[in-house]
Amino acid sequence: MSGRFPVKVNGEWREAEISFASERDVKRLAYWRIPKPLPADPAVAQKIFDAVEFARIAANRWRDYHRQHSTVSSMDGLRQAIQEHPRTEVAMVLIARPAWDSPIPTLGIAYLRRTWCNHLFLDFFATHPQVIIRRREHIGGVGAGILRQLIALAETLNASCIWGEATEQSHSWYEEQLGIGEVRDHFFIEDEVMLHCRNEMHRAQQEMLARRATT
Amino acid sequence: MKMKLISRRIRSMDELVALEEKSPAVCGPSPASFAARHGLRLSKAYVTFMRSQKANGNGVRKIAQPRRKLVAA
Repeated sequence: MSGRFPVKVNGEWREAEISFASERDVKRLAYWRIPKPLPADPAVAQKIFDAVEFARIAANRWRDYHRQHSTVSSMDGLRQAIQEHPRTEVAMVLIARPAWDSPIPTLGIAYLRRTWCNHLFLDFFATHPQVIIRRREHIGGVGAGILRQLIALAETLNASCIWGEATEQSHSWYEEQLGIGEVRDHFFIEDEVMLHCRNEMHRAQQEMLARRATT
Repeated sequence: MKMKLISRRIRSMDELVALEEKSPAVCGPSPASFAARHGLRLSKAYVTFMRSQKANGNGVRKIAQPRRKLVAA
C-alpha cells in the first residue's frame, strides 16, 4: 500500500503519502521528540506528550509482534500472510509522510492489527508533534486522511469492519468524522457507515486528482 | 453495537479538514492505559510530565501536609 491523500498546508492543498512502515521506519519512531519550548496550552502539551509516547509504544509493541513473525511491512506481505494463513493476526504500522518538500519528516502514524476474522482493529493513531504544535507549517487533515486511508485498506482487503476504542477526548471527533450519531467508548465502521466513508474517501481522491490535473 | 449514520450527504475534504480543528491528534486509549494493558513501561519523560500535570501551580508535587497536633489550651 502506498496511497496518497490530500492535506491542507498553510491554506494550500498538498498531498501526503501513506505506506506500511518498515523495520527501519518503526525503529525511527523512538526518535520522535518533544518540541521546545512547550506550548503554553496544557491541552496541546498533553497531546504532544501522548503522541511521542505512542510512537515509542508502537515501536515496542510492533517489535513484540515482529519477534513472533506476526508483522507485515508491505501490502504484498500482508496479502501473502493472509493467503498462507487466512486466520492470521498481524500487526502493522502505517506511516504518513509529506509528499512535498517539508521540514516535517513524518505527519502521523497508525498502529493497527488485522484480526483472525479479517477485521481491522485500530489500536491508536497519532499525529507528529510538529504537526500538533504548528510552528513550522500549519497542516490540516492528517487525522481525517489517515482514517480514510484505513478505509481504503479495508476496501482492498475486503474487510467488512474497522473498530477501535474511543475516549473522552476522541469520541466526538469520531462522531463528526464518521458522520454517526453517538460514539461512546468504542466505534465500529461497518455496513452503511463503511459504505458512506468509502464514498467520501473516493470523493476526496477524485478532488485530489482533479487538483493535480489543473496544476 | 450498530452505529447509525446521521446524514448520507457526501462531504468534501474541505469540510472534513475543517472538522480537524477539533482533532484530538491522538486517538486510542491513553498511553498509560495502553502500557498497563500490554505490560509495557512508560518512558521517564512521560511519567515526569504526568506527575507535573498533577502538581501545584509552581510545578512542585502535591504533598499531603502533616496534620497539626492539637494542643490543649
